[in-house]
Amino acid sequence: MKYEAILGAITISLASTFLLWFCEIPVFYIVGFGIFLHSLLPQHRKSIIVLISLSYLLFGTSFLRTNIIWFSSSLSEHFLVQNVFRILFILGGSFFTIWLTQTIKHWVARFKSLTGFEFFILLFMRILLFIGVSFIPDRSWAFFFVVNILLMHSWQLSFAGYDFVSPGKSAQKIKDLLYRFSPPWVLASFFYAATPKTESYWEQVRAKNDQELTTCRQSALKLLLWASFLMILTKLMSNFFYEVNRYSNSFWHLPLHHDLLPLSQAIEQVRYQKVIFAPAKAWQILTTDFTLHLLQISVFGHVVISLARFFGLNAPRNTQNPLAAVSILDFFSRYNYYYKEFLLNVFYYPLFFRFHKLKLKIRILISTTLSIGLGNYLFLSIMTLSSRPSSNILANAQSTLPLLVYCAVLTIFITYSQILSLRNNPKAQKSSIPKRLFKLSYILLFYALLRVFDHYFLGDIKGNWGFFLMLWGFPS
Amino acid sequence: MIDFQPLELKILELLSENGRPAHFEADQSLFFSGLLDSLSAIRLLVFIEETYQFNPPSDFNIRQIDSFNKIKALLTPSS
Repeated sequence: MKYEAILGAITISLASTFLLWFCEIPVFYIVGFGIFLHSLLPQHRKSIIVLISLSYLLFGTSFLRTNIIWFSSSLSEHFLVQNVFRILFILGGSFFTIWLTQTIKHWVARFKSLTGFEFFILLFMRILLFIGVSFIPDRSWAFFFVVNILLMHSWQLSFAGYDFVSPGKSAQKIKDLLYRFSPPWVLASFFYAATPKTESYWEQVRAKNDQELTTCRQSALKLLLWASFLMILTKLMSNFFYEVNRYSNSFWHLPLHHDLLPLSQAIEQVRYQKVIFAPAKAWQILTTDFTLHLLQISVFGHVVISLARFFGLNAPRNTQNPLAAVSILDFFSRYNYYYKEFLLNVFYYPLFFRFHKLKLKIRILISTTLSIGLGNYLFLSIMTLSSRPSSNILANAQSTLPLLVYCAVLTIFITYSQILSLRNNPKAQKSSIPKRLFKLSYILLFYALLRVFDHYFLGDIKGNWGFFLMLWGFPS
Repeated sequence: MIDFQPLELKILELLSENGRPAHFEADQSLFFSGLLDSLSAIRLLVFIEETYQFNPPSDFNIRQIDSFNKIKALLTPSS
């Protein structure tokens, strides 16, 4: 029976991915309309949300996809029309993913525990899905479905089977370990998506009664709507500033665009084509990249967390209003909460407790250097292993030099900010609006400048330095 | 008899700094629920070390100070 459940989880996961490959747009329109009619029948009152959401999803995807492939008109390319369908698509996709995940949960939840071996079967399934994605043809239905729904809305769908059962002792250890190092297993995005926590964490944030569940789901809906708004803003901005390739960014073909280069491309051009950017242009490239980076992190985190909240897991947001930051440390805590928590739990706290006999400032310095400095560097370079440019180990190490600079600078400033905060916590201080705005601008300036070194695996550090100097009017 | 009032006041101070309501339950999770941030954890630990002369054991982890009752249990010598 246990294997039957695992097989069920695998089947649903694979079916949802690969069967759609063979579907065509008219089928989606017809099925969407059929489901919508079905939802109106009185006997389906209980499942009306799922059915209507599914029809939203099918209509939304069909419309957007039809527009990409077969025709374009002023109406279908109108920003408002595109985004109405996009919101329907997001809402539909989210509910559909919840429904699908719950279906898997029911298949598997009959069983009390999983052994390590069974756990590995599920893990293998996930890896297969990961590999499978690269073989799915671009612009096919399956690609559209996997990239825009599975990967975006659920970072755990193929693992849902094991997420909802209590693993046996041997599996629990592996599971905890993988949870800790989950970002490499995350399909949605390497580090934009929130890092999942351990089972005991989810247990603590789980809604305890119906009232809590209702409140939790209301907050989920609000967060999802906020994420949709931010997503529109992100795409509007990227369309406005960057040259949009119709097919690579096809759902968002908006009428305006400005030929600005993405930061990574600008760095590569500085390095290999010796391009010189005027300071104004360089700043424009940097600030656009930084703003979009913040928005993208917020969107992915909000979508993941709102899904968790739909399930009754009242998890804190991944991005918690970074513009309200009062210090460099505070910004670091707010903009990618789960990644920061990961660094703290895995590296910082154990070190901080271990060195309790040392002076406080020394403890902070050691723990921060080894967590936000070394731990961060090692983790990020291992995590982005697949984007390594060469099989030469030395070349690989050399291409992570910008990351090393990034981590070192971040360590210095976070350590200093921590020591300052312990002495005089900026959160407790009340300051005037101009003072707060001044503080915020230097915090944002610091993180924006740091972004130059957050682009690595681009050969070596020369391009990063070159671009950094160009910001100040020194062509390299 | 250990006086836990300074501890209670410190938690209230941290809650206020984090923009939370100045009230907490003795069993309420402070850090894992997201009520207080990680810097507050460090500040609270330093406070406990200084005020109650507490030396964290080698296997100490942040869960052991996740609620008021847990901290009380940690600081109360077992008979």
